Amino acid sequence: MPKIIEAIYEDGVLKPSEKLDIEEHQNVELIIKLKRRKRSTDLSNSVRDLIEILHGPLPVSSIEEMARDSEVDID
Amino acid sequence: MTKICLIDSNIWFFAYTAPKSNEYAEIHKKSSQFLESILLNNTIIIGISFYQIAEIMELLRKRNLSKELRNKIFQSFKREKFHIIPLNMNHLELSFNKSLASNIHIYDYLVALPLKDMVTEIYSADDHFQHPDFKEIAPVTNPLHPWILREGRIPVHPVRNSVTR
Repeated sequence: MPKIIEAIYEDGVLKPSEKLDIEEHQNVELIIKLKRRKRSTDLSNSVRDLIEILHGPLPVSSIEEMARDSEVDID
Repeated sequence: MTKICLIDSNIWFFAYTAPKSNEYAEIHKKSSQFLESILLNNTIIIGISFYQIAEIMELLRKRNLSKELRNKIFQSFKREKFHIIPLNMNHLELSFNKSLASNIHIYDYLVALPLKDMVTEIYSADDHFQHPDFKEIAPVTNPLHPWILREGRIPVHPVRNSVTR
């Protein structure tokens, strides 16, 4: 019965993500289907809070206060 | 191909705080839109040093961004979008020596020098970053153009001939 598993391609070899219940040296047929790159998803997730804050209520100040406080060593 | 860029602290500051006066509203709008565009671009990683994280957190504390939001921003820096660079004594000494020679704030060097040989683009509206010391790290672009920001001073819009202090 066909089985779908995930694998990663490294150093010219496809490495399955789980142990396979087949004999050593057994021939198999493969259908290669590329998965969406994980990094893209992670990058989007990792900035969700930062973007939500940009669109939320933010502190409002005079430009003089902002100029004064844009320098890290003045208090 | 993924690129690593540096976004100067003044852009973070003006993205997460807003000026009362409409005269300066454009700075907040441009900072916010620019930062969002970089955050949403999956081909760009943001390089950031230990020092710069502390600087951004301190600037936002001074302008009263809530503790909760500051904490969320801090936690976000630990995610995959960011490449965090530790500081070492070489960074500090090189920053000190370059600051001695140029008279530019040592903190500007502490933001940029740790990312040398890593970043391919620097985004800053601070005209200090137009100095060759920074341009030799990576090309410098001002995403808030024509606005010019410098720590401790009122922003300048050369075309409108704004007041400088």
